Amino acid sequence: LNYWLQHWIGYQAIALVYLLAVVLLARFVGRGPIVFGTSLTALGWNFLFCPPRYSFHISGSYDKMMLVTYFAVALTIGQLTARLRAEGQVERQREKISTALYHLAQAVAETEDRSQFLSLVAKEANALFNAQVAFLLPAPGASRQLVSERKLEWYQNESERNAALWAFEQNRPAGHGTDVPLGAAGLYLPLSIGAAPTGVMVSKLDPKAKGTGQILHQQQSFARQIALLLDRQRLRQAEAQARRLAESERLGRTLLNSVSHELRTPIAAIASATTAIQTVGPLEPTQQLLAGEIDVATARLNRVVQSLLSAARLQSGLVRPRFDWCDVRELVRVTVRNLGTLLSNHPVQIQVPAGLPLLKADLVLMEQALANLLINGALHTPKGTQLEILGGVKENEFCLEVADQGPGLPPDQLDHLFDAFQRGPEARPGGAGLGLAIVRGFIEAQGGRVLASNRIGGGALFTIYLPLTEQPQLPQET
Amino acid sequence: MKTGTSQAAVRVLAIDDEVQIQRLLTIALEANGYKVSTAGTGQQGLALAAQHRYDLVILDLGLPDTNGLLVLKQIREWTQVPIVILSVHEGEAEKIEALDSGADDYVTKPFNTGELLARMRSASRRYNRGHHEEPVFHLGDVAVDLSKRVVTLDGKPVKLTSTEYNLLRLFIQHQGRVLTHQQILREIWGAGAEGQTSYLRVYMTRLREKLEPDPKAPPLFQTEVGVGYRLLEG
Repeated sequence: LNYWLQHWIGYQAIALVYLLAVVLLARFVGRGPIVFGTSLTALGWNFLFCPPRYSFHISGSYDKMMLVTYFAVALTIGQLTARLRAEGQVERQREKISTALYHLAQAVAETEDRSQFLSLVAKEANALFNAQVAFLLPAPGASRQLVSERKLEWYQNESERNAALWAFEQNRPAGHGTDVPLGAAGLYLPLSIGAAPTGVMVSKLDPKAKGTGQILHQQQSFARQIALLLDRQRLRQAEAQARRLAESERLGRTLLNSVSHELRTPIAAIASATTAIQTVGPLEPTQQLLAGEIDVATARLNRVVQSLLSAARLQSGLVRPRFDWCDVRELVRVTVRNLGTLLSNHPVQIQVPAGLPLLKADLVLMEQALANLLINGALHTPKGTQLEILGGVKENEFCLEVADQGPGLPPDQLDHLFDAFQRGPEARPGGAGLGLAIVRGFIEAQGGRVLASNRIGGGALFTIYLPLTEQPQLPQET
Repeated sequence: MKTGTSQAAVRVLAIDDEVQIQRLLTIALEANGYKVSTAGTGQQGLALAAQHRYDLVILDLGLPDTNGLLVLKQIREWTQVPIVILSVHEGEAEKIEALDSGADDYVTKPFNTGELLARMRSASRRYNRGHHEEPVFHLGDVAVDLSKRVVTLDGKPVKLTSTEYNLLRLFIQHQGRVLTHQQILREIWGAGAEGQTSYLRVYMTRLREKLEPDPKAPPLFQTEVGVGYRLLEG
């Protein structure tokens, strides 16, 4: 072409055509080839067109200057174009990464499952970095072990595992192309947003790939973004979990409240009606006896319903103690007093020394627990035998004992006594088998424990242990 | 003391969503000389309470349309009429809130009608008596000369510290009424001491040791479990 052109434009202008060729070349290749191309065209022009032709000798000083200038201009333009092109490539890659991240951010909002999300990320990253990318997560139940969500052939050797573990534990990049190669072929980047990493992103580049520094930088920021997305997914899951829990608790509470209302209203009606009859005027002796029977039966029905509801509340985890300071002596006295006629066949001996420390507990739960033990004692022992309540502090614990003088507890049943619906084989009718289960539930809800045993002299012994807490400060008074 | 039929009948408003309980309250209370109006919802109860003058209100805290506490607070905005609350066994928190919001007393369902009548009479009596105090208070073997600040048990003087005396005096002023822990703490130890129930437990124990020498005898100070204390009426 140039041979033909030189007849029209002269040999010097041919240099401009070569210049054009160098610029065009720079759009497609890197800096090295540009230097090579520039030299080649400069020499070619000199050899083929510059007089004397077909020799590297340059006769005119004008042509010498032309050649030097050509070389300098072509090299500069070529280099600049090549740099533009490289920057354009980086820019395009960055854009690809941010598009991919945008899609992944949408995907993370739709996927609940972490490993499903990570395999999606791995697929995107494979295309983005032209590398084999995978994610390693701590193995559940095993310490210092990372597993991948898919099988990696080349990960099965010691140095790769070491590099992965090092990156995970030190929260710093490791492996090929980093300051800490550890002899690994893969690049290991911790998935972390400051704190301890959730996992490690591993990528194995094509060995022929160039510009590892650039890629390390890109992958590092990619890994950070993925860590952010994972964290967002974790938070969203935790929130959804908490919402589900609160919702199911609310449902349970509502159901329990409505059942409780439905059961109690008729009982309340019966109780108020029978007691109302007695307020209206003197009844005949038989009527008085009958009203009394209804009263006793209603009270018993009420206790059974109360027990069932308490057991249901315990079962659903809806028992929340309201801790307050209690005086153990006061607790024992008020419990015995409120039980009233239920203990009328059994003298109650109370031995709680004055000056005990205060107990931090829920008085309502404590009263019911203690009442259940006393009712249990009254129910399973002969009429007229004594019930004893002993309170005190033993080895930094409150202990409250309820002892009877009955036949005692079957030794092989001691462990199961507190399970719901467990009744002794020779148990007399009465009681739903929930009383002791409620005792245990209420006491354990307050951080205590309850044990059953037999007294040395005969009779059953139930012991409640509750933590002795630091005593409150009292105001000084003169 | 029963309400005599010769006097104008005491008018009672019973707010309860259960028709059967409404009916039973009407029968039982009218048989005991009261004149009863009933309301099945909080709205209806508020409307009735605004239109008529009642001498006492019985309010169920578990109303279907509004929270019973809200009804209580709204009634308290314009009248000091005695209010007796009906609540359930686990309702200690709402009982406390109701008492702190101005309810006079409470009865736990299933309630004994005799007990309800006693609470109603006691609340009415306190309302009618106002803040008038007898200079010397008597209860069982205990006598308190409020003008001289002298306390005797069985005729023998009892030494009380000033906090113990103030506590006793507070109970005497509100004899028959449940005082919640918070109410007592606020009165005796000031607003900053609310929540310091340990003070209360310790001082109640000391007061009882001095004034209730026989633990088997019925106590002067009745523990209302999870709610507060009440000084019994003679």
